[in-house]
Amino acid sequence: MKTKLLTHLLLPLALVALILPGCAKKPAPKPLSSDLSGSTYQAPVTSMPTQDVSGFRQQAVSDGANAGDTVLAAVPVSGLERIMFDYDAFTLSAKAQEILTRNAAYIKANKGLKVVIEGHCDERGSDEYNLSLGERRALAAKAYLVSLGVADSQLTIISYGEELPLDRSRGESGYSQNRRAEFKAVR
Amino acid sequence: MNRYFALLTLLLTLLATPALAQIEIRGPGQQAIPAALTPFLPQEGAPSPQVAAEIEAVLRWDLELSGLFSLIDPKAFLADAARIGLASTQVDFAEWQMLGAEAVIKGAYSVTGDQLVLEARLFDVVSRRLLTGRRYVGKVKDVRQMAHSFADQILLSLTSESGPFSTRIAYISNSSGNKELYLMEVDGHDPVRLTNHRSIVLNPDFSGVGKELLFTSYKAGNPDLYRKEIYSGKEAKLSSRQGLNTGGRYSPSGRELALTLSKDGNSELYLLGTDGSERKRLTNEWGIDVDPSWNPAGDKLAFVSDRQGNPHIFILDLVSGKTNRLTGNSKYNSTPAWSPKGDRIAFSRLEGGSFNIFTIRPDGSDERQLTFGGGNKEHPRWSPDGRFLVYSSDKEGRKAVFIMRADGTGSVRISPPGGDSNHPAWSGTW
Amino acid sequence: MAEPSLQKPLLSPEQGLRRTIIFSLVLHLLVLALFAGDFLPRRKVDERPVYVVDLLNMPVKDPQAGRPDAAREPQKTPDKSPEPAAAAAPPPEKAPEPVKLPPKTPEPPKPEPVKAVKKPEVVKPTPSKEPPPKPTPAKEAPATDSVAARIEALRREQERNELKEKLATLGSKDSRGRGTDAPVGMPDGKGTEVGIEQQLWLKEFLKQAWALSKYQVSRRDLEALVVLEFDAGGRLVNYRFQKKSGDDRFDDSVRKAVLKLNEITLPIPPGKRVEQEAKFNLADLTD
Repeated sequence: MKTKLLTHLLLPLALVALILPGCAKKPAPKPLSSDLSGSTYQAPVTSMPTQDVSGFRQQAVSDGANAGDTVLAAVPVSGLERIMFDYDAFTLSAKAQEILTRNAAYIKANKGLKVVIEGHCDERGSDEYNLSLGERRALAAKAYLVSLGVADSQLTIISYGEELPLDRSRGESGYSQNRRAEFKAVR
Repeated sequence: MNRYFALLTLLLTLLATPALAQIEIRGPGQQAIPAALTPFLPQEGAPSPQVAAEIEAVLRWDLELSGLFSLIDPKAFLADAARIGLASTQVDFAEWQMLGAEAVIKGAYSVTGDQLVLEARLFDVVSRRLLTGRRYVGKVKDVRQMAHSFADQILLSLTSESGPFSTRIAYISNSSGNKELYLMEVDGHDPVRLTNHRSIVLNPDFSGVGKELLFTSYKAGNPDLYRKEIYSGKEAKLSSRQGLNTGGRYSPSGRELALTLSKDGNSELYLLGTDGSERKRLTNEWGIDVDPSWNPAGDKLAFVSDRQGNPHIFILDLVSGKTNRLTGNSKYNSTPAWSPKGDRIAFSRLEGGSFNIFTIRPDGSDERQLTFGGGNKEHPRWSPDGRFLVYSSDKEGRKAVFIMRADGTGSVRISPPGGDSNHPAWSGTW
Repeated sequence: MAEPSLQKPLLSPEQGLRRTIIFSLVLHLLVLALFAGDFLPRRKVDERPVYVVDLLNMPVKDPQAGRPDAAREPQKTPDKSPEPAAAAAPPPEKAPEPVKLPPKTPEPPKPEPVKAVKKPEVVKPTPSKEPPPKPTPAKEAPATDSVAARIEALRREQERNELKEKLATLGSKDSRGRGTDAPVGMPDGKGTEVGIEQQLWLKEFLKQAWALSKYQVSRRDLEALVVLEFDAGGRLVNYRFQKKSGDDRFDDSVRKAVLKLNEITLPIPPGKRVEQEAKFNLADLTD
């Protein structure tokens, strides 16, 4: 009877003690051997794009022309001078105003002349921003001319931003040459 | 009695499993996967060394740019490199393990006439299995496209994101004498001239939908906005309003575009439909507002404005109409580009006399400089997966188009020599 | 009067007491087992925040062997430290004599080999002057007691000499001298550790085996916990992820690093089955 009770008491405890560690940890161990799968690469044939681009496979053609010549149908006019601007500015300096006064006189004297005012910038800064800045310079010059009595119908404006520099050299001497407004005659 | 005690003591000794203190490995010792790019071998038909060389050159360039790998010197390759291995059972992984490689790229090609069949495989050395494989069937002249496509596939299997190597980059070059629009592959090969305006062409942008480009051209004597379908060649003026029609950018949905118009007397941002009709005026400030860039959700625009004095980058919420300044104390910030992932905006800033490329979070935090030194780096644009950037730099003298990873490393020039190349734009998935 | 009991008593008082004692004993042992095992959380000892730069970690059984001053006395150290066999070289020569008188001189040979053998295990052995003097007395000594006493005397003299040397070194401030206690190794070394910790070695091995490009993961807060099981011989028999990072690329790279342990055995076999926890994260990744 004693042994029976002991059996009933100790063995279950022993079993519990055995199971307990098993519960506390150790999920199923992972196999160590790497899976040597066969060719499981994805489905076969991928055809390459067959769009016909041959119409566009042209080699770059050099025609040797300068950008300045072919772009503009406008020509410089001997009676009109360009004006210069300070960095990132579109205000008219005293010298600019002097030149504009002379230009105004010339245009007024030539009623048939159509003038395009070009705004330009130096190459520093974003191209987009410089397009707008160039436009502002051109607009400033036009406004001043109109205030001097030039007919609005004779004037148009365009901005080239930094795209058509006069002086390609780096540094302030080059840059200062490019911040300008040009006056050209439109055919 | 004794038996039970013995059993208990046995249990005690078994229960005490010794565990050592935890060790912490705080980063990989190898921050690039050592990989072996083996030469592709001829399978059927005559061997073609040019084909093999092209494949190798394309893969090598793409994998180097990816930043994932350190490629093992081919001189160290052992016998298995000379054996065709298209299944994991055909590859002697033990050899590659000896060289320390963790990934092996193998392949084979067959040329018959002008037809090319290309088999390409990426194996994992440590677990000894095939990670990804492809077979390409096409023309010999498309071999570079096939290799780029497999490089995309390699990136997809190792990073869960396909690579950008099959996309295209548009740019402006004056090598023909005028500024014209060109298209080239991501590695700079096969440049193709798309326009013949003989004037000034500027600032291209790809449509997210369909293969077409927006750009500005002075062809008609005014900076007008054009649209061009790449494969059919059809071209149309989208906006030729008075004044500037510049900086056209397709929205991510492709249903409208943002641009700068100065028709109302000042450079302002507008929304146009794809037929060119005006949908909405977005800004109304005295300053210059240019350079719009859409966020991937299509409800915000980053743009440049000097309304507060110097050119800064602002963000306009198209839904609420509110505008906030993004960039802090700095003199000149321009050309913003919103990452397709939406989490960063790249831009160019003037500092210390030169422009360099920075990125910043849309909330203005975590600003990082990506390029350094002299020369002007401008016009950054993101790859469609947001992991690479293309930009223009004149640090080599003339302006050229460069490519680099989004963290600023790995920069390499891609535009062909001759003339100035700038205003790059990166296509979507091609 | 009969007690109002509901059931018949099953045991006698003596039996009941014994049973209770046994029951109590069992419970005590069980509690002991619980603590001896690893079920209950223990307070972890905080690691000192030491900035360790690992150039090369090789666990060494006898790190003092490579000391410059140790090398200066080549005949001494090889004799003593590495193998008891080497140190037994002088004694074996003398061995014939003591062997001839086994009952009479069992002790003299014993102290020397015993002392010589002990030294390598202690592993911060004092490269003291060796016992060449020792065998000689063994050679000469015929009688047991006198021999033993002579050995004792010589040993004491030996120690005195050692002490003199120590003082001499300290006084001379020449660390390259025959310094017996010139500090070598980690400042808090107890002199009982077996070379560099095996855990540091394992950490270094796993770090070098782990290849992952930062372009494969978009987050820097990934962390995975792996439990490695080694058998008594130091071979990896099992591994499992206690905690995955959630990023497949990261977990895959960790798995590949762990699989490289298949190629090697631990340099110092643990002697029994052990488990090692390894935490992998990107804490040191500069971005």
